[in-house]
Formats: sequence, C-alpha cells, structure tokens
Amino acid sequence: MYRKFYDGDVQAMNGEENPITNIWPIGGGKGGSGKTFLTGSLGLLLARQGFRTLVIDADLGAANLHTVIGVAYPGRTLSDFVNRKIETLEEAVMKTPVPNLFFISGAGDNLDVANLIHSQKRRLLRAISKLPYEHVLLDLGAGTSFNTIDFFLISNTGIFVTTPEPTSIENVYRLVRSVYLRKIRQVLREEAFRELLQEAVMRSNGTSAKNPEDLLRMLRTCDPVQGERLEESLRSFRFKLVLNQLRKQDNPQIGTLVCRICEKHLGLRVQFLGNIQHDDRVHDAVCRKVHFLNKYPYTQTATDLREFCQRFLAEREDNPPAGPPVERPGETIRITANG
Amino acid sequence: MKPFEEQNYYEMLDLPTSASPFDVRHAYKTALQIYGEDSPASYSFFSQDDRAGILANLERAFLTLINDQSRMEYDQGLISAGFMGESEQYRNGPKTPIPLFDLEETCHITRTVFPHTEKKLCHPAENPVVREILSKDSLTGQDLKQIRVALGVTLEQVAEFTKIRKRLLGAIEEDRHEELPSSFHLKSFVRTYADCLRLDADGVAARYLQQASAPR
Repeated sequence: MYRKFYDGDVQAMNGEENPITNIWPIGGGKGGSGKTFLTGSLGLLLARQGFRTLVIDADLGAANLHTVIGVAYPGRTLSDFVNRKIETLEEAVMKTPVPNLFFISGAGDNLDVANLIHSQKRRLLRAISKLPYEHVLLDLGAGTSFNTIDFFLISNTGIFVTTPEPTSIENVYRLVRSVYLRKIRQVLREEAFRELLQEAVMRSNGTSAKNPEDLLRMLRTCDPVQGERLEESLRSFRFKLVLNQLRKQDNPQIGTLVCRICEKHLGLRVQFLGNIQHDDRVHDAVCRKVHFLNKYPYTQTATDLREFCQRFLAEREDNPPAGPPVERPGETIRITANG
Repeated sequence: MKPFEEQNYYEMLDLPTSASPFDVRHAYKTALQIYGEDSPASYSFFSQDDRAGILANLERAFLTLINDQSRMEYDQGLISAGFMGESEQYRNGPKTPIPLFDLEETCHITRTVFPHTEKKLCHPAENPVVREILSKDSLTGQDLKQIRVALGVTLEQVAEFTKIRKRLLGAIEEDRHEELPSSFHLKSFVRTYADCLRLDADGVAARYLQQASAPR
C-alpha cells in the first residue's frame, strides 16, 4: 500500500517536494537534548498502535539508539550497507522485542562511517526513501554538519527537539538556519547561489551575510521570480518542534514562542507538538536498558509522550501525502560534493 | 513574508486592526516575552543590533496604538494608504449588554431547541389532535400533555427552553394541584408553556386556570 509513494524516489532524495511524508527525521542541534530517547519512544508508541515502524539510527559514528530500544548487540548495520557488504538496505533491518517495530543500527566496526562521501550518502538516502514502512524515524546526530542536514532534508517534515535551556535553543536556531540555507542552495543553481553570496557581501560592505533570511530578502529584490519560487518551496516545509525535559520552573510557553519566531522571521511553518516533562527516572530506565515507557508507564513524562504521539498522528492526517513532484524547467538540484 | 521593519504596527504586534487597548497591552507583553533581552525563546536568534531595533520598533508601535489620539492619526495614514478599511477601525463605543444565556440564538431558539420537531411546531393548529383538544372549553393538564406529545416535544425540551423546573411542569401536566403555585404565578407559567409550543398563550392559560381553580 505504501509502495506507491516510492516511484519518484530520485526526486525524493533530492529533498525537493518530497512525495514521501512518512519519513520523520528527528534532529535538534545540541547533544543530550533527548533526540534518541524521543525517537525510541515515538517508535515504540507508533508500533504499539499497529503501524509498521522503522527506526534508523542515522547518528553515524555515535550511534546508540539500539540501547534505548532494547537491542543489545546490533548485527548488520548501516555501515555494512555503505561499504557494500550487503546489497540492499532491507537486509540491515532487524527485529526488535516490540512487534511492528523494526530497526536499522548505525553502530558499526567501521570507525570512518561518520564521514560519508557524497556518492555513499546519495545511495543511502535513496535506499531509505525506498523502504516499505508506514513510519520511518531517523535519529540524527547533534551538530549541523552536511550529513545531518541532508538527512534532515530527506523529507520536509523534520522534527526539532530542544530543551528549554538557552544553549539548546541556540543550537536549534542554528540547525533551522542551516537547513534553511541548504534549501536555498538546493533550489537555486549553484552559480546563482554563488552570485547571490557575492552580491550579499558587496551590499553589506564586505561583511558576509549573517543570516540566510537576509539572502532571501536580497534575492527577492534582485530577482523577484526566483525569490518567490524559493519562498514557496520554503513554505512547503511542515516542521515540528518538541520541547523536551521541561522542568517545573520553566516557562511552558517557550515552544510556542520559538515557533512564532520561526514563522515570523524565517517564514517557516513550525508546528509545536508539546512539552515533555523532565524526569530523573529516564536516566534510571536507560541505565537499566529497559524502555522508560515500559518501566514507568504512569508518569507525567509517559503521558506527555503519548500525547505527543497523538498530536503527531493527528497532524499527519491533516496533511495527506503530497502528489508526485512537479518538474520545473530550469531548476537543478544538487547535493554538493563534500556535503 | 515582509521583513519586520516594514511591517505596520498591527502586524508587528500580531494584532487585528480592530484590537482594543486591552489587546494592545496584552500583545505588547507577549512581544516582550519573545523579543526581550532575557527571553530564552529568542536567545541567539537576533544579533544585538537587530534586537535593539526590534524592541525600539515595538515600543513605538505600542506607544502609538495605546494612545487614542495617535492611534487615530496612524489609522488614518493606513486607511489612506489602503492597508486597512474604514470599517476595520477600533471603535470605543458604549458596549451593549450581552445576555448571559441567550447568545444570539434567543430569537431562533425554537430552531436550536427543537431541531427535529420544528416543522410540526410551525403549525400546531394543523395537527388534528391538537386542533381537537384546543376546541375544548376548558383544558386540563392531561390535555396540555397530549398537545405536547402530539407535537413531539419532550418535557425536558420545554424545561430547557422555558427555564421552568421540570418538576413544576410535570405538576401542571398531571394536575397535581397541591404542588402548583398561586394562580398568579401559575398563569404566567402556563402562558410560557403554551408560548413555547407556539399556541395561543392567553387562550390556553385562561382555559387551564379556569379548570385548575375550579375545584380549589
């Protein structure tokens, strides 16, 4: 049934007008904000509701999703696929103790797997978009490296995870802007982008452009048609935000405010999916290598997680999968080498 | 997407042009929560200069919109530039009282209270049963009940609509005279009851009272 979305996977992997809406990259910039924990919990909850769910540990080089979902010794991994030890990515899929929940590990003996070269990444992204599951959750690493951002742009429905700490929020904005910039680069031709950058440097008297939104504004004044097109493709994003580890003394409105800032100043639609309360027992559950939702199902945090999952599913029904991408003339999309 | 500096004061504060001074104050407070120096929500999003610029703009917007005189002048500017219509202006007229229970629906309440029986209720006299009962000289509670049942209205619906207690309505319908109030109040209740069923209120009340007061 879900096979039908995978016909246009070549365009899909380029990130433009992705027809697959059931890939959910989960990123957040800062380490320790709970990306892996949230991915594991969401995967577990979705699987319990009967969705065939696949979680992929795309935190290459620092993978530990397997511990959270209760697979102690990952067998085949993404690095086997990258190094062509196995031919298809489906061979790397492992069963987990939870029915309906499947898993691809990113752990591996290959220490160099963190630095994918361009062709490897293309192959990996394409393979991921071909996988026949209802929900594919991608647990991304911290930071704003090209790897992370390209994984994030595999679908236009990425989920940002942040905590209420300024450091974490700072990194989320960093990631949002990096994704934004990457998108501008993908939509524009490479030359056009370089021209735009030069123009930007010229106009701002030698200092390079600070923010990607300034670039967009500049583009709109130089070339309204291109600017309009770019803005439209930025509007097609359906990002989501989760505020994790909210403690009692924190302002519960922060998430909503962050979404408003993104909408107002970047023109990006970011939907707030709710707060998740901080709980020291998460640490305890991780240490015991059992899942928090199984060990402490009747806690505020567990309730928050279930509500988060409900809201997440409700939102998905509001936005049914988009049609196949429309080829626009004069549009080249590239994922640059090195990136 | 308009850059912040080019937005008008209402857009900066995310307000409709008809916002009241209370809303303006509230919106300014929210904006400070977002853009204030210590706000965790916008931490690192803006450079120091950008933030100072935004805060200055917001303050100007707030001070303009909170003052009636300056707001009127500003609105005139927007209207002449075509950004807002004349009718979208905030008007500080005297407020008309809003009934606590009947929001809008008062006049059409039959429509909302009796959605399924509306057609029957429109012409109670066309119903043969009702016509026959109404042709009597005096009406008993039983008669009223028959009319109500013929019209397909439940006692709960009447109680909800007339705000008369269900127990009292039951007493009227079952002629439990000892539970009924004085004839003065009873008349008013029966009138309301009849009115709710779209009957001739005065006629019904008079005929019912005649019957009810007779044995007393």
